[in-house]
Amino acid sequence: MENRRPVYKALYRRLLTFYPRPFRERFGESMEQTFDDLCRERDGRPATLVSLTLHVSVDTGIGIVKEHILHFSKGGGMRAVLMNPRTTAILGFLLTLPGAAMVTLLMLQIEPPMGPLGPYLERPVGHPHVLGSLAVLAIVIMLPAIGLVLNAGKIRNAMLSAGNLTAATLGGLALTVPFLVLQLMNKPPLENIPVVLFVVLWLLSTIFIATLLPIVKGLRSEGGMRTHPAAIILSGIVLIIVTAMWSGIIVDQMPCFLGVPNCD
Amino acid sequence: MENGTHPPLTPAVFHILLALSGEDRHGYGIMKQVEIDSGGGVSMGAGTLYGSLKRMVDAGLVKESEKRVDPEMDDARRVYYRITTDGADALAGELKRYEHLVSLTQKRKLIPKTLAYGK
Repeated sequence: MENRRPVYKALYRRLLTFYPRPFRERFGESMEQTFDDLCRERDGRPATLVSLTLHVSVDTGIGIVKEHILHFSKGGGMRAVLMNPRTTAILGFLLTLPGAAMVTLLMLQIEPPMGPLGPYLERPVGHPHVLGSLAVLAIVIMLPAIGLVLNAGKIRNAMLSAGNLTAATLGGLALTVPFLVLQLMNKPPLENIPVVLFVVLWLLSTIFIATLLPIVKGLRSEGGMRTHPAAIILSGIVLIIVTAMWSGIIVDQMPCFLGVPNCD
Repeated sequence: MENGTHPPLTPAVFHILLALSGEDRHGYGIMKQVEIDSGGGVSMGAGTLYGSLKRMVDAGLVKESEKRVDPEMDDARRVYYRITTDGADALAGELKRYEHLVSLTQKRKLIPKTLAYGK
């Protein structure tokens, strides 16, 4: 056992890496020491090796799961995911995939397989269901956008500051209100207003500004963004998608804003 | 918190507090003391021990004392844990609960019945 102790220690150290980082940094060294003490205690009693290995593996495994649940329930897990550029990039990419697929299908006018939901979802482009889907897409894009922005230290502070969020919200509103006014002027009855459409427009504008503001601030500060090139690239992708969606909706709905008859 | 106002403790927390009630101990020392106190009935793994210690430190029941060398072990410096006043109160509260339960079961003559039932 004495000769094999370094091997077991290395394996145990490897097992400890599965603990949440804060826990590992705080107790990892002590746990290794304790494990070493347990091994030393069993020196000359190789028969107890199996029981020790089993006991330690099960106990540590349970501890790892428990600590991850506790860590995640306190928000540490999500924060850790969002603060890591690599995981955020992957998460953002995965979250954007369904939305991107949906937009592609809509653009190519390909009817996706709807399964049992088909009868409820088969509607022409521009129908409220499509707008609802776009709203879902906007939310789907918002998540990675928040993650990307949280990645960079300076950007994170800028983004989380109430001032920037308020600015993005008000800016989004400012970009939406003119179209609302147009619609009210040309199609006066209040019930004619497509609320979902304007909410989507407002959301998209807000996301656009909220994503753009930190980039501008980061670029103005000394190399603030240079440390996170992945954040710049992915933010750029988000901006392009949001801009394409926003412009698409505006172009599609402009006749309605201008009061063209029989417009939907 | 006052004596007896602490919520009931989990077995792991109770045994750790009991182990630390005599003197400051490091992780391995706590494990060994728990085994002794429980007559070998409780064998605590490092995962359970340090998970409990983390929550106990956060709750203010124990605190980390300075790192020092255990003269009986090797020359590695270890983190020692010390019970706090709040931890001692929690332990006293738990022991009072046990005392009350034991006196209650004795008064109701439940212990002999339980033993007889177990046979």
